[in-house]
Amino acid sequence: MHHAPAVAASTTWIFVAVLVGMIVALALEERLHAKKSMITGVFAVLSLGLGAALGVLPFGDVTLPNGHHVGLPVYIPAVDWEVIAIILGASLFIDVISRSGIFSWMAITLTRVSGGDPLRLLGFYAALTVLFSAVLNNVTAMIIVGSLTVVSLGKLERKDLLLGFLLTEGLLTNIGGLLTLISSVPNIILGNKAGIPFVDFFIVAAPYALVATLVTLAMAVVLFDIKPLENNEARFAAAARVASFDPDDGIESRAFFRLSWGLLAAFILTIATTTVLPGVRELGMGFVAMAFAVVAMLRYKHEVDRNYAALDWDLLFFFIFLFVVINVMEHAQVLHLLGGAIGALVASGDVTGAAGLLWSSALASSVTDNVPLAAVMGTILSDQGLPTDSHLWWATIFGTNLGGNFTPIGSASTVVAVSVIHRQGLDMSFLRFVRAALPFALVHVLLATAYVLLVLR
Amino acid sequence: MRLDEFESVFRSAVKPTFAYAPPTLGRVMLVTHGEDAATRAVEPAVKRLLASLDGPPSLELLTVGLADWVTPAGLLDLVQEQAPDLVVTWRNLAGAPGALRWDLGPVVHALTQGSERPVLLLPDPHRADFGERVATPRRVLVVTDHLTGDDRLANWGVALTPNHGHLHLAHIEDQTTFDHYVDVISRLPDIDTDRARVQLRDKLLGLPRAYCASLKQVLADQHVDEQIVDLVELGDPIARYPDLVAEHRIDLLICNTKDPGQRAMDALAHALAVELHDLPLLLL
Repeated sequence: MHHAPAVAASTTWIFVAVLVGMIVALALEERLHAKKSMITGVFAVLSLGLGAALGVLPFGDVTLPNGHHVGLPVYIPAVDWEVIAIILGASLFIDVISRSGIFSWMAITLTRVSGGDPLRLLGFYAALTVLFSAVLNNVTAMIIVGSLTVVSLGKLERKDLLLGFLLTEGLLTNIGGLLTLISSVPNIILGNKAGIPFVDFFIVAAPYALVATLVTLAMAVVLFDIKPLENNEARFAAAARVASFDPDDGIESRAFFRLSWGLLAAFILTIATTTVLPGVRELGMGFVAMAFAVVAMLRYKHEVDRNYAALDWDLLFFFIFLFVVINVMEHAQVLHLLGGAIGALVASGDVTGAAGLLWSSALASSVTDNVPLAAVMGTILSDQGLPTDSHLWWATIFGTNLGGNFTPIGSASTVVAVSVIHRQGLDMSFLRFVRAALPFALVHVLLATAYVLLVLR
Repeated sequence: MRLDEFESVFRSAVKPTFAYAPPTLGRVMLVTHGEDAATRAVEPAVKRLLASLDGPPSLELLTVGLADWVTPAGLLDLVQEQAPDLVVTWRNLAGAPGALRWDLGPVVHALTQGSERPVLLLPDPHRADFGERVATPRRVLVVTDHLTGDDRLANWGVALTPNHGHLHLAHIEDQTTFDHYVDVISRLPDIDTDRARVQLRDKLLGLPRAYCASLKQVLADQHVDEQIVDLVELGDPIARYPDLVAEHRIDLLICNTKDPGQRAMDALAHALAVELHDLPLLLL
């Protein structure tokens, strides 16, 4: 591709305004009654149009690794197709194997094992939330655990605990979302930009996720006044109620159920070893996700249209349009401008730089979508040539993931948690959420700051 | 949002379960119109019919005649005062013999709708085959379609079925109502009619089947030696139950009459009580 021409400062500021406009529009998504993909789509079209009109876009052939040139529209190489392939493949794969009933089986089995004791139930659901957020996306994890919570607490006639349970689970999705490289979109974007291998990511993130989960649980028990059952009579009655849950109800085929366990284990293993497997290493995690999706879909080969229909197309187009906007911003020198500010923050010192990055990422993520932030930050930090093991990458990863816990609009999974709460007719305003979640969010970010500065630096 | 989808998955996983709590019987009130040769045969017949129930070694049987209660309202007062565990009577008590085939009479209506006590409705004791009809039941049919998971009905059925006897749990889902809902669904473009028909039928019949499975398991755990037969299907309940009674040679039928809107006694239970006039019926 031809190099972009020099950009006038006034032109750059025009694009800064476009970027700010998009971020504000995303923060006001609910009020605008517009899906994310529509917002980023409008700004992608606007950015491309302005970019072409103001001469900041580099039109021309794209050079392939073998030296060949190929003519592609400027917005095609703008998209990080590896990220899209990972999200698309993993979503399809998880959707297909979830039809085997493995996730509902796991959730119901744990409910039965809890014996209906609220304290044990909270512990099990917390573990389940973190595990599901690590394997699935945060939204799906919250939907599964949240809906099970509604049904099981209803069955136990303990709807008074619903608010505390759902809020705790919503907050824990963002902790679980830190666990692996593919647990959240910011992880995928930032981890890929930094070149952090899957296993290395897990080794660094797991200790924090474990401690943060335990601390969150302890706080929830105290703040939401969750107590164990007091006597044998209550324990017996609760156990009888949860015993009426049949974990096998959602299993249509035993063979596919077993196969799904095998596929899920193989998927995690392959993703974890992608960087060391010859051939697979070159094809990347997107290939692994797509390959497993295709293998899993063989089970429903005559009705794969149902799997395609279940995809979150809003999310996929949101990412595609977002990458286009970010690419135009790069050409318009907007990221260079932001990079200067971030460079100054980083240069302010080893401790203040990392802490500043973490807290500013967290605060920015609390009021708008963390994906554009991750995409912008990933590009800026990558341009600054940070090494893979730099703690600044981790400051950004922790900040973008944990910021969502400050407000109900901070992350998609907390939006789901609030939706579940509202569906049950419970009162949860923006301010009430902030009041309830603030102690947790502050502790999460403080813990992350301590971890980055004391352990990872 | 797939919230509703997963809530449905988990709600579907909650199965109706049977809780074993056999009723005990201490005092039984036998309501008659007065003493004659036929009514004297009722007492031993009732004792035979209730032989399987748990209770004190000697059942306290209190017989009251027309002189003791005079009007249905007076009978209800008497029932409240004596607080029997079971009231036994027969159809159209003290009524015109010509109405026997078509009516249950004011006494039965008063007892089923004005009192919470279970009512055992016997065939007319003046029938020549009364002794054969009212014996220890070997085959009991419980009509469970009023309310899936109605443990009270099932527990009475279990208690009245002797060891090695057959307890039939029947659930006839009304085909006409089902067809009506499917017809409405067929007019909703958002719902696939064929899938809805299959899934709706499977769920409607699956819940009572799950309840029967739970009952079998609980009785096996309690070492109750009875043969449990589940009869779950779509059909016309009023036409089908008499068929089932004949097909399975039922000796005693148990059904519900106590619901908040008194719908049972205005519909199925009343229709069965009228139709199956030669069979003992336990109206709970």
